[in-house]
Amino acid sequence: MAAQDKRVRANKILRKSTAVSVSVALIAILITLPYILPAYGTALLISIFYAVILAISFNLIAGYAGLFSLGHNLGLGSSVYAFIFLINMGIHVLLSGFIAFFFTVALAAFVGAILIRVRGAFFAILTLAVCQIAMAIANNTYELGRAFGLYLPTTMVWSTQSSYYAMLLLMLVTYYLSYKVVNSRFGLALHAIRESEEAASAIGVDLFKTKLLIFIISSVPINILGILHAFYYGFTIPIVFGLFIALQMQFSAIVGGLGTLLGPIIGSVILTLSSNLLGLYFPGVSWMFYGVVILVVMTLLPQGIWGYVSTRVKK
Amino acid sequence: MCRGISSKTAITKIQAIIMIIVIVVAGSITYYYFTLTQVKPSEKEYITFGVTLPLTGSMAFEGEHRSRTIDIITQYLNEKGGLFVKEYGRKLNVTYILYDDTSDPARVRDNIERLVTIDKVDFLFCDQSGNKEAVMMMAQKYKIPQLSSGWLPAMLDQKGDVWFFSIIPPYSEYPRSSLEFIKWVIDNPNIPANLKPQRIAMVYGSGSFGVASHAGALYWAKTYGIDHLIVAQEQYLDGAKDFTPVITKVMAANPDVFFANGRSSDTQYLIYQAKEMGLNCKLWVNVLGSDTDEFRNVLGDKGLGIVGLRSNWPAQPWAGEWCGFKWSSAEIFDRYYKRGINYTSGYDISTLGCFQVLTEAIYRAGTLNFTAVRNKILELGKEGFMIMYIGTWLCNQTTGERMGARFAACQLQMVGGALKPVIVYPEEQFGFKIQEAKPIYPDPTYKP
Amino acid sequence: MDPSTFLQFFVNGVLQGCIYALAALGLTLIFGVYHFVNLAHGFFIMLAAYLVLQLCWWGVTPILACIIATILVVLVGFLAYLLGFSRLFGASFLAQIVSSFGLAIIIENSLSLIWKSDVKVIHILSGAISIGNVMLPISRITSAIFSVAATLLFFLMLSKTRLGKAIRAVSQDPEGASLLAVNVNFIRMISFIISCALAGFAGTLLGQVSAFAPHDGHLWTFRAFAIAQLGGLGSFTGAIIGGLIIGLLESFSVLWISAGYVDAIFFGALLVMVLLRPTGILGVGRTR
Repeated sequence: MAAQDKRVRANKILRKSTAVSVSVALIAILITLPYILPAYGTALLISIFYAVILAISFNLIAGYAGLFSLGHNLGLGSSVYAFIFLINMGIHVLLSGFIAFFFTVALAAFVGAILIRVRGAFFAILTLAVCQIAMAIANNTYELGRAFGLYLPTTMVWSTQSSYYAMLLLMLVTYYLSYKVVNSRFGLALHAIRESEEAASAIGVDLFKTKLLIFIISSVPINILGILHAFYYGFTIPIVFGLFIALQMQFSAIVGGLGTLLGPIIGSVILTLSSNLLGLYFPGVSWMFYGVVILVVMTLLPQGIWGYVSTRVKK
Repeated sequence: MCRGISSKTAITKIQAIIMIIVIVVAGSITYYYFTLTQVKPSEKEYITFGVTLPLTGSMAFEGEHRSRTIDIITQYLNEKGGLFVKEYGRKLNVTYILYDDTSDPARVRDNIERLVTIDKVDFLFCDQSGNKEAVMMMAQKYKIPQLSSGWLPAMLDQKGDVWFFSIIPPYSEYPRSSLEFIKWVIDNPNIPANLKPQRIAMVYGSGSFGVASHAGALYWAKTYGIDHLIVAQEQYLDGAKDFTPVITKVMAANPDVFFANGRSSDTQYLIYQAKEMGLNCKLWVNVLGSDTDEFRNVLGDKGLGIVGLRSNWPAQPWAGEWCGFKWSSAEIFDRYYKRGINYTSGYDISTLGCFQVLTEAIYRAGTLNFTAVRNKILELGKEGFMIMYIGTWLCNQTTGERMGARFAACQLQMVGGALKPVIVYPEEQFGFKIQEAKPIYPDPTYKP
Repeated sequence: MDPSTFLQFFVNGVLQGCIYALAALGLTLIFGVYHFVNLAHGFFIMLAAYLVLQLCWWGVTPILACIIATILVVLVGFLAYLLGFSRLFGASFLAQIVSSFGLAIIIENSLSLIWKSDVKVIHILSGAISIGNVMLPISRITSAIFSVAATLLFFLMLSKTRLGKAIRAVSQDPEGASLLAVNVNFIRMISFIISCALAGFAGTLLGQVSAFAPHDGHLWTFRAFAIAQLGGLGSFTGAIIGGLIIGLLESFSVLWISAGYVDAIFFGALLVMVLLRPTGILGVGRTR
């Protein structure tokens, strides 16, 4: 028995060290890529990182907490708009960043507190409703640039390389965040809530607090992403609140595997790469392809690609 | 035995991850090397333009029109021998690479990166009004001169270091001729006083064009001294399909001039519904797009007498030589006909204009160097074509002569049994008459 | 404000609301009874409008075009049902949302590819009649009349026919219904088909009163949801009331706020409704 325990532990250490070394190797590759690839390759990778960050955040709230949010890009739009608005008012970059960040966190807390009282389909549609209302406000308010949107002064826009590293860093931090959340006691509480809310509250989980907390936590990466968005693209238009981005976020996470750590990454990589490259060579069908992939995956592999792989491969 | 299985499968999972990563990275690097191309100057055969357009998505109709125009004009230029570039000492054919950006600004940005860094195009030609913000940011960032149909307020913030130019005046200029026309009617001694316009209702779209154009309308109304006649200013949602509420509000103000100021894809339905609801006006104005075929088709007989600005001619910025050879708008327009396109839209014409200005600048610069070409674009501007933007010049259709720095008012009239746009205002510009017909006033269906 | 203007806004809202109610009726049937989130609902509406447009171009008489379009939409829905939607009915809500979204995207892009993305409208009837100072465009009146007729037909079916009784039985108590030898699966399929038929017919009418473009489909889906929710899930009368309320709200919103918010009105109404009274106005169903 003791010998077997030792071997199990040894395997665990072996797995963990392999995982660590693989991760380090991967990060090293990602760091050097901008020097090898042309700017387009870097830009494509930035698009992938963008999608990954969105997908992981969505996964936190939908996959682990079971709260399906159709409007999770509220934080994205709010932070971009707030940030650029403050900068155009002449406020210093760092201060603008902080204010924008805390503003969006407060907004997430506010919206979350109101909305998490409802469940399932309603939560999904209400989060969408909030986003659509935000879009209407952005579209109609003169100070927010109406349909023109808001622009960052061109001198403040980051180069592709700088944006790449910022996005890479954010993506790694987001992944680490999701890893920590999932493997903590808080993560267990989330798991309990996802399985059965009644049972969870029966064992003493504070439903409201837990759900609110995950709502806020999962929108933090998105808020920061909004600020990076401002630096990379240099402008924002009301569409950032739209259904389009929300859909991309969800589909990446779902196709990859909701409720798994690596699922969102794999889903984002596959969907972003394929729709971008498809769009180049077969214009007109990239969205169609999206729809078909979604249907196929949901029919054949409802747990998502990585979800399927990880259930097949026993621990 | 459990131990053996678990260690085997544990490594398999990690192996799976590694395999995926290696495949993706290897694939990307291989792809990169295969797409790397270098062409020596002496062997250069083509000037390649990089184009990103919304071929799908919400702006697909714009993308379709602009892409067909690019195809037509590049073919035309090649048939004339191509574009002479002094640096290479000979005429080079022009070609283009077109990517679909699915109306997504992020994709526009990525496509431009790709065109510049992988396809290594000589020049970018990303004229689109849908996501011109993204194009502008890339132009400013990478210092590539870009010509566009439509300007952005943010352009004015660039303070001299401008790489993004518009060949179309600011939206605020658009309503000018229509308001001049109203003034002309008011001042006209031959029109009885009770028929003169007294109450103008302005309805404008919520999008960037509508809002800016409406601001311009107010400005020009004030300049012409008729702003006291405005009794209603209502905004409709851009892309709206049901205008009944807005029309109801307008009808409450009892106007006798209906001034529709927005994208013609919206205003054609706006005016249609307003007429359906029985609004009785002496004059109907539609600022943008009154002369398009689609407008006439949607409105049918209800379109008779509508006034708007004239811009959708195949006639282009200047007469005479383009890139060193004589050109003719009729020849170009003929090619649209041959493709089964019976009318050109504003998108076609503005793309045509942008392309002509860009190639003329390249021709005059004699090089493909971005800064040199940009300087030539600025010079063209000073010549009267552009400042930071150029006004679309009207050309006399037969002589090709340049006729004016702003839009003229056209009116839909029955010509030979069909509804056609005819220029009714102004009477004279630059010393010769351009007016083709007398304006029909008031609206034929008006009941005093 | 001038009372006749107020009346005009009111009439506009009611006429529009009738068609909205029809559009939401099908969703109430599916969502309220089976809790099936069909995010492609709005696209069945769009599809019908485009089909009518195409048929009219080909010279088919308008009324026949509307009927054919509705039948075609039903066929498409039936096909979707056979090819996989039937399995979604008991499935997780996530699977329903994602799969129906997938179908919605496919329909949207097909519409875009075939008919291009520019705005279209169906011109069948024109002109307006005036009653006092109120203008009533004829196309709106006829669309509203047909909506009401279709709704009445639906209610008639529910109350008088065996099928209708079976549907009501299943909606109230699925297990009990199956004990009474009601073929629950068959009823489910019929309900889905009826939902598509209602959506399709609503689409043929909507295409005449407002212009449409492929991307409006999402808006219609969520508007239908808002109406169904407002009226109370599981309550068909509620859908009618919800439709009228939303129609009136949108009409008057132009007066009270600006026209730029029209497409956000029903979202706002939805938000308020779910938070204050989750069961809706006439709600009998359970909130999930």
